[in-house]
Amino acid sequence: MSTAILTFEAADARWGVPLDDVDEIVSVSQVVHLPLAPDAVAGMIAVHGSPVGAVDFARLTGVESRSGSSAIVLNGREAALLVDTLCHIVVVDALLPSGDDEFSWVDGRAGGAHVINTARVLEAIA
Amino acid sequence: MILNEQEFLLRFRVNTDTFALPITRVLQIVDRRPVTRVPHLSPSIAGVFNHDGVIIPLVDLATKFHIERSPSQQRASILLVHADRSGASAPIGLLTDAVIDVVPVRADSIEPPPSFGARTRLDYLAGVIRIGETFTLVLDVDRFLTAAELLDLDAAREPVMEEELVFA
Repeated sequence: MSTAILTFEAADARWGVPLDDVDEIVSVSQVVHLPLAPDAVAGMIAVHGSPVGAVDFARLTGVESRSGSSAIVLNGREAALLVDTLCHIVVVDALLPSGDDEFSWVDGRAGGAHVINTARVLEAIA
Repeated sequence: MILNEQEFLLRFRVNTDTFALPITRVLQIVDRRPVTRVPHLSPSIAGVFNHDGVIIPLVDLATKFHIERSPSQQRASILLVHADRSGASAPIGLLTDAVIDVVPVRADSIEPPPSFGARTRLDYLAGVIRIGETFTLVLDVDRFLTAAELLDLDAAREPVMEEELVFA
């Protein structure tokens, strides 16, 4: 069974997220600070007028640059990932082994991108 | 905290963050005044002040919420609010940078705050409401303090001044 992966750039690296986990993509005009939120959370963004927690993807990888203008809204609007640039969609039969285990939330590689596991990303920030 | 169908929210600022409380919870807005520091309390409790003969503990919201202190606190206001706690109600003061306005809202337009799992304490919020182009954080005044802070509020209200004089 093939999997579609949406690839994006953040923190000078290329990442991918399974398209099945993505609700929609929105452009970000304002991030509202949310006191006492986890470190990787930049704040809240408005998705169709409703608040959704925005994860600064660069900060999640340990880079202190503030990411982006685009947000990948995850299924159920549980959270959105702030990223620098959206790239394209690759379709693969299976993920390649990631080759490093720096991040527990990386499942493998596809199309030159580290493919993330969104459930584990959400666990990691909590 | 139960919200009625139609609410009036008092909005206020802590540095650049916008918070709100149901106006029914606000007893009075008072100017910033000298505060007596009480030793050995949580950092978020700035001290106590005397208001019409009642000793009222003051919660510094900037410290409480790890918000950078505003450079100009000249116009700071204290909100005198009442918080329910196991049926009892006692006034507390909230130190804010400025009161913004009072806005009418529909209670069902207050949405739950984002959640990041059980380990994150965002239960200080009753919800989030979109007013104009931005979000306002609606404080849950009955739940925003930790158990330790609540105990410290009780300690701060105790009139310990005479005992202190013994050691002075």
